[in-house]
Amino acid sequence: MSIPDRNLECGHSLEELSTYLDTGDIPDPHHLAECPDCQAALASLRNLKVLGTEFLGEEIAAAGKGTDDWMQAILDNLRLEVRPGRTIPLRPEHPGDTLSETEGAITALVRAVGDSIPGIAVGKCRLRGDVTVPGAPVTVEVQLAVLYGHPMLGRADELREHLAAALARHTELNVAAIDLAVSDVLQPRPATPPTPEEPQP
Amino acid sequence: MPHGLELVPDAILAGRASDGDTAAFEALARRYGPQMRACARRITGSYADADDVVQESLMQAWKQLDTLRDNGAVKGWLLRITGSRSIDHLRRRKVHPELDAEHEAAADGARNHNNPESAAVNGSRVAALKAALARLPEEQRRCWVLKEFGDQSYEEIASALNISSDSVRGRLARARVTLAREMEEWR
Amino acid sequence: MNQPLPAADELYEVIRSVDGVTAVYPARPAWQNIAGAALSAVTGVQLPPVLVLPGAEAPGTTAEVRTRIGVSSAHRAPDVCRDVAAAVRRHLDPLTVTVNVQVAAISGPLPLPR
Repeated sequence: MSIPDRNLECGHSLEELSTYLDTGDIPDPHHLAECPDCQAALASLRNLKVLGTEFLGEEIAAAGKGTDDWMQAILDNLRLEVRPGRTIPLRPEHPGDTLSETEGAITALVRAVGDSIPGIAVGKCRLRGDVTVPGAPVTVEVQLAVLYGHPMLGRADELREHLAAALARHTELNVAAIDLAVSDVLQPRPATPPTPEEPQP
Repeated sequence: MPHGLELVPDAILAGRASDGDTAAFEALARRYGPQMRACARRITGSYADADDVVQESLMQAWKQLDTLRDNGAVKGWLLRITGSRSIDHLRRRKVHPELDAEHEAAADGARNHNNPESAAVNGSRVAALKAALARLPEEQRRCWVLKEFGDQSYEEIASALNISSDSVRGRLARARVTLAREMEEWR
Repeated sequence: MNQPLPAADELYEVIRSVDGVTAVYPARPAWQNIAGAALSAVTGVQLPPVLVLPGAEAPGTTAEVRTRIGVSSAHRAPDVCRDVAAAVRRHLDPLTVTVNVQVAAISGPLPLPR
């Protein structure tokens, strides 16, 4: 057995070795280099560290991916609670009722539409104008990160068309303009195959 | 659905998130969410509790992004928040004893060696480590998980557990010695 | 004359069964600024998904109903919102109600234009 309970026969404590493993500091480095007891105990602790890393890897894999439903549910709750944004009125059928949408729901919609187009990821998204006043002109500003090698020409028009349709369907905003700006060009990772092209409508 | 922001490095995402870019923040959440969840689950004992912890942690992170000084260190920062939130979660449970009994039972079930998940990998060294970890005293186990899963410094663990750095050093060493011995016996 | 206030969990079912409603989230009373999840995290108390308040001017015969919903993108969000208000009013008839409905999320597969 290379690991005793507390202190090694050479008189050094296992606590010192455990700390050395984390910080690289030990009161007597020369002793450590030459003491077989210390070296054996250290090797045992290092094996444990490696096994712990393997354990963590399995646990992360078991916890799932960032694209799984549990993560989506958490992000949905965050959107709901942390950043509802302004209140965008909807026309009530019955006088006295107050119907509305949150700005956060609309920016999330914009993001979902953008993300559905291959090679594009939506970054910042802003609704400019007084969205709280029915009929006030609103400009939708969207920043895009574009995957390198994906032609943007055509994509921008496609996205603008999709966004206009989604906003007309799900809001009563008076959308005066949709401004798209490319803020980043992303280099694909070698390991990640490029997103396949989808047939144009 | 493609998530193109996957390719953007941590520091850029963190910088943009602190400018109010929610998409950048969500990309970070997706990137480190699984490790946050794994860490919280090992401390709280169940995925249900872990998901609460991850959500609270992300909420706190979003509000405190401006306190993050080194944008490149966002991973450690998120795990630190997750660690201390996990411990808070356990403390809150103590305030509601009727919930506590229920949760402890569930947590024990999750830690127990006879659950189906560990049965599947039974016989492996990792399974043996998992079982040995479950037998550790609570405080030692927390120190070990915060260190090895959460990659926290002694000072950070001390502040999460509300004990001294020296106590962390001692408990962590005792945890490691016990685990290392058990693993040697297993071999 | 004075009716008891309608049960919130019954209204929850009514709202949940409206076409296009995917979720009913805790209503946020006007006086409450703290985020719902943060509050329940601290207190362990879940906010009710539908809030029913006595009407300000005639508490016995009027009521105010507040809720927040998630909508499937297969439906037009403004229409679903109005459908919810109508369903609540129909359910509470003859009580005089004002309804406050907020769309907090639009989810699901996105329809292609045209």
